[in-house]
Amino acid sequence: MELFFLASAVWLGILTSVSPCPLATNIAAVSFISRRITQRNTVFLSGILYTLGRSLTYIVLGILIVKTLVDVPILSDFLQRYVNKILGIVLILVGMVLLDLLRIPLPIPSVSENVAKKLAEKGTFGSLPLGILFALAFCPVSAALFFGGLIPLAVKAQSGIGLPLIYGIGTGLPVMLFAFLVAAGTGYINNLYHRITRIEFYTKKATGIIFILVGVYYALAYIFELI
Amino acid sequence: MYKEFSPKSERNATDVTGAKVDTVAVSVESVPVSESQPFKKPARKQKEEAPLPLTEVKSQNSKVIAYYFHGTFRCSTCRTIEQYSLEAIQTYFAKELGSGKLEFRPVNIEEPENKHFIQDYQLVTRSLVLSLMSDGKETKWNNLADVWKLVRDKDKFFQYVKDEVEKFLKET
Repeated sequence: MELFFLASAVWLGILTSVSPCPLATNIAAVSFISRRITQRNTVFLSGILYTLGRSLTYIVLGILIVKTLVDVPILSDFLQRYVNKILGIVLILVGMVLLDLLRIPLPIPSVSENVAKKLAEKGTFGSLPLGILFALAFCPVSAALFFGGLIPLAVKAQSGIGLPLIYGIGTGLPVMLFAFLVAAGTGYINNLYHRITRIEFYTKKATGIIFILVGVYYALAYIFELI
Repeated sequence: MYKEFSPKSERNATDVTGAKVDTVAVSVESVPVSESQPFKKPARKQKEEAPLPLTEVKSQNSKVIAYYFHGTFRCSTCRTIEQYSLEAIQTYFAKELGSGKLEFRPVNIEEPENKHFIQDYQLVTRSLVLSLMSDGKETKWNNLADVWKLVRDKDKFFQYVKDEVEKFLKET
């Protein structure tokens, strides 16, 4: 029975990862994670952090629903109604930062360089909040799978942490797989070309463009309601 | 003639075609989905209940409403679910639709006046809900949550909608 629950949670997660909305965000995530294409460990770690971020969101929602008496339909409606609107704006802004069209304004100039450097070093950890945010963006298909599929399982098993965690891993599986492939391929590329850092200039730009495109898609669909 | 089918033979006929189910649909099906509680009386605001002329006239009048709940954003799977639901109902229940015993009603839950449906029927996503009305009051409802599992299999989807609507129509 336990195994059945676990297998169902993974399967629901995988189905979620290829449903339209999470697919769009997963594509953005893949480009975000692999923009440091020459740094094998960074890419791999990013993939894991992104997936953990997704799981974290599902765990928090799982605990809220299983352990407390949060009204599931209200929660689902709220997330679908508002998060997708915010997501479009966030994606466009992050995309602009990646393209250097926008600078993150920092109050004290002398500190800013240090902070900026630190932020860049910690770029890997940006994958965690990215996963958290992307997981919050529910749309009809993913809401049906999470609130209609996983949550009843979690309630039945009284598992507010375990099953949402497994489900989250399922939803990030394609991204992790891709990160793994990129990481595996990186060593090969590095052996061929010792000075390939230039490529990261382009991968960063590409990531910025993808973020803006996905952001525009979300904005058209959820803010302007055109799609 | 759609109206004069024998439910048993129809079902068998559809099951044969439904036998070649794709693996995806089958494996998803093994996952239990939240049981809607057909007998739980939803706390509904009566004033927002659209009064139906038919049910208000006579006491013996009862009817079934098939609600399709959607949001402003219409995803493609959601459109398919709505289209299949309507098609299935029109195919099998043309007579009931004509007589007013059955009604198909698409509702946008993002309109403020429809918000109460979210809690009434415990909606977490786009849903098909059957509601049995007698004397202008709802006596029973069922959220057909399996539409999401069966959307990849048109035959099974039609059979599911047909079976569920039949159950409700029996009580009118």
